[in-house]
Amino acid sequence: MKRTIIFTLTLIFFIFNLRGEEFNFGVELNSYYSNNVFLNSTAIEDYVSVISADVNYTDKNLNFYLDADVNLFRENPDFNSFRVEPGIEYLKYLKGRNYIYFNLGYSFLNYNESFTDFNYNGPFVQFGVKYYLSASMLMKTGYNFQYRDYPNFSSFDFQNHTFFVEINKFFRSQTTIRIQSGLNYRTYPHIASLETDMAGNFIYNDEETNSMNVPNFYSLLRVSQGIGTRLGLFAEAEVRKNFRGMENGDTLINNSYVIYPYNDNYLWDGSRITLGVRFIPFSEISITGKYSYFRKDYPGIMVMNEDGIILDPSLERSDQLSQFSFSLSKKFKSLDLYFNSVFRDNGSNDSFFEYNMLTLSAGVRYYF
Amino acid sequence: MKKIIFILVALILFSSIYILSGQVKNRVYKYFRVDRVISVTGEISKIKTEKSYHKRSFIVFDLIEKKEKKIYKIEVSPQWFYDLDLVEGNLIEVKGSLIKSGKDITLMAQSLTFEGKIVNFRDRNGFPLWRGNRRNKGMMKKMEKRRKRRH
Repeated sequence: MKRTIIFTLTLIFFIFNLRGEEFNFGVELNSYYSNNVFLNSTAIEDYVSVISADVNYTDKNLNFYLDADVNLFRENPDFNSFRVEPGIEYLKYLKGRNYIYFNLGYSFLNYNESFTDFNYNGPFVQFGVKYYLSASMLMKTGYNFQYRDYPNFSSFDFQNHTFFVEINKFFRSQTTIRIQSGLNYRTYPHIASLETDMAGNFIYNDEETNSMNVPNFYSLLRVSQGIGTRLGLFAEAEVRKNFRGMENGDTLINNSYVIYPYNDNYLWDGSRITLGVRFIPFSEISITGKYSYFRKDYPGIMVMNEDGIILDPSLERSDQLSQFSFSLSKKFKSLDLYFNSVFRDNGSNDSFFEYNMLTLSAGVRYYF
Repeated sequence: MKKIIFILVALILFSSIYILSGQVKNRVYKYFRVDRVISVTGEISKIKTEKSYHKRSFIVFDLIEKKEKKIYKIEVSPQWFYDLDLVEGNLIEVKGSLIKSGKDITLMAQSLTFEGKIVNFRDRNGFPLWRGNRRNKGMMKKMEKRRKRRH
């Protein structure tokens, strides 16, 4: 009995010590409805719940963490996924308010049965520096590396190197100008050859693979203006240049129509303009509204017909996207409540990508 | 024997209380008082780090109040918790607990508001968000960025 009490007290003491200073646990529940979860003309709607949790153990400048999240689709459970990410962060403050940041982690993502080709795992590294060039000028620079191994479909494997520099200059008129430029270099090391059988079906030949490098440069200008303290306006213009298109990437393109994110930021070529406003109408309530217009070209990605055959004469895919977003958040003691909505109207010369999308999401975030 | 032990314990107790009370007299304790919470709007004239609270580096602003041009010292948070890009000249609204010591006017910041954003440093009761929640803002914010970058 005595031993049990001592053990219990020691355990409580230990847990309280962990909780108090170094140990931290957070959960987040987010639910959203989208009338077009796959962002294409199939317009499949669904209700999705995302449950996220993270556990952190901090010791001086080091932080060990474990992030996990589950995506649950009500109408399309085949698309349910589970992601786990252990990692370590290092944050070191230098003289002044300058710091260096380092992050090393490993991601695992698993989909349900029908989409297991998109399962991946792999390491990532991030390194960043924040440095004040003067009292009103700030520089941030960083390098990110990411490797993804798709064990069930190695054509998707890629590695990504990203380097960026950002300069922020503040003016007494409460105007901040930011210029950011970055270079991303993505390599797909083993893309299977795409062949056609007698019946006209596509076959992937894993024995004959090729590689593809996609260098992408971007530059961004952001101007933000504070009007008083409770109103902020901002405008952004971004240009992206893809130096080499998706050459030899037929296998990727053919599969990407479902979920593969080949239209992520590093593979399109074109421009973006964003206008936004942030506003605090009452204490602790924050509202943000944003409009973006994208003109995206996809070098090397040809427009196809419904059967997946490239049109003749061939034409590269080109999209124009208008996006409106609105978010509202309210902070409580250890609780954040938020509501977001996004509307997209995407026009494309490929009819498969002519779509509208409305997403409504709400969530709650709690930190113990 | 019992008497000797009793006298020794009593001596140790009294001497400990005496030593501790001396230390308390020599220290200046600052408490966040909810009944002294005010809001001040002004321009940041200086941002610096100061060693305080267990020799931790603390971010401190000098703030020139907009109307009466009074100078406030704003105690924001430990450096590891602070991850804002504010610079000298930024217009901010500070909500915090007022402490007056001689000519110095200090605010222990509860929240900062600027360009339509609110950043909290203490909860409603003045409890620091960096206690028992170490990642909440500094590293946490970086984690959010990390997520956004990859998705």
